[in-house]
Amino acid sequence: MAEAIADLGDRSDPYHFLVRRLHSLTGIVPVGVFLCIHLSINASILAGPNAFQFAVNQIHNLSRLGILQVVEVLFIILPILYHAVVGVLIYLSGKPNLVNYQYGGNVRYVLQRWTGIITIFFILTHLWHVHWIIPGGAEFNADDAAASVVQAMAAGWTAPIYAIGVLCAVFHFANGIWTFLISWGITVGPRSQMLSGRVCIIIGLILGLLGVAALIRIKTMDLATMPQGADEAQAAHVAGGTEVH
Amino acid sequence: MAEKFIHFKIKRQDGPNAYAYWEEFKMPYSPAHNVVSCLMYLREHPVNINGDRVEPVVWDSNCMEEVCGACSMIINGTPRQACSALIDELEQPITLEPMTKFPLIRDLMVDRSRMFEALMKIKAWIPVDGSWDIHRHAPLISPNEQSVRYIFSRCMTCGCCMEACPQFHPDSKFIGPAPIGQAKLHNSHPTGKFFKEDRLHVLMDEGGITDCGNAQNCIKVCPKDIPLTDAIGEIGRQTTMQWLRDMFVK
Repeated sequence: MAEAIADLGDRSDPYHFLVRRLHSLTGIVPVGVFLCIHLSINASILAGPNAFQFAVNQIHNLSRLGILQVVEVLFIILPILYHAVVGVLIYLSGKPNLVNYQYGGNVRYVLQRWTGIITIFFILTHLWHVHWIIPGGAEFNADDAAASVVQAMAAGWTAPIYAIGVLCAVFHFANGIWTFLISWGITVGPRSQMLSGRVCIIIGLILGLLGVAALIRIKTMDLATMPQGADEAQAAHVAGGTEVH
Repeated sequence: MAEKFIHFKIKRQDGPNAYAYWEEFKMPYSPAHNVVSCLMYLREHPVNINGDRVEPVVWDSNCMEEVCGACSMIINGTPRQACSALIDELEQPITLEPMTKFPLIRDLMVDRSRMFEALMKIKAWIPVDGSWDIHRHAPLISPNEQSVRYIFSRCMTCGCCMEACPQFHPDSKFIGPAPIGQAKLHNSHPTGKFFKEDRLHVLMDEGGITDCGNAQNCIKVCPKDIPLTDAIGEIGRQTTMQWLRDMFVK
């Protein structure tokens, strides 16, 4: 009897289950949540440059508290890195057979893998393009959010690349919610999986629309008519009611 | 009136390491043939479409009523049982290929032992309640529960679900959908439940439930209409609970 007490079975890899389930979970929390926040903040530009600056300030208030980078590393970079590494291993473990079996589920299986891989390349491009990783890209300036974004996104290649990247990330997330619910045993039967599928379609459509609408707005904005420079941005900031000095 | 024929295109291979090649056969039509009865005719008349006498085609079959699972092969692109594949319902020429996920022995015959090893791994049986009188009646099972369990008990380990699964192949450790269905079946039995934790721990290891990719091809090709994705969802739930028990109760 004593042997049975701590017995977790004779496993070849005791961490396999944990690694795979954490992969599934990190896709929703925090990575999926981050995607929702990111796309929502992007979409605030639909209400004008000042609203966008206000939204960006909400996030960058964290840097005034000195925890923005901690949050970025712990809740964004590390989880994405983990999700990507394990995801590539999962991608390599399958042998897609869409040619022989053209069922909806099998199409989503293949799309889930392709969109994941495309999203990895897109994130790397995005980091190079507007962040600090490698010099040579455009700079996003949090104190001059709208103008610096419009400037960074001025190049012609950004429209198709960002549209593809955002839509792939959104599909991967929406379909990932559906598989997450199955993997964890939340939706078991066909009826519940059909219903959760519908909810995931709606989530995907909303996020996709937000992403693409923000992209179109940014590409059609005129630099000359928006508040520019730190002074005006600061004015917008104060007007937005988030004074922290 | 021209004589009617049954036209086969068969993927052949003389041995495990030999090259694969296609060979065509034509045999006289008669109604109500199935693929196995045609292969039996071709065994008696092993003459290909060019009129050459060749080695008869090798295949595996047993029950002839779609319950043993032995005659699985890919017929016109779909993995299914040859005995229940009626010629009158098939488009010609009928292509026959061996399943691709199991080691090939010869022609249409494959080695399905990986599946039987999987059933042993997950203890796909119920403990005998005693070879002596235990002074108790058999445990009660509600008619509802019984009807759900009956569908899963029809699994014949034919391998069609694994043939269609993108996560199951010779280089993967994935146990495949059928044994997950059997784990669900035996975990729900009043005495089969005694091994529930053992089964779940096997399915939480490499090649277990987490290696499912949710392509859900299994449920589409299962010749016995077994709701394998229900079993995958259910075992997903049971392993989640087992994981929590292992973490907090042990």
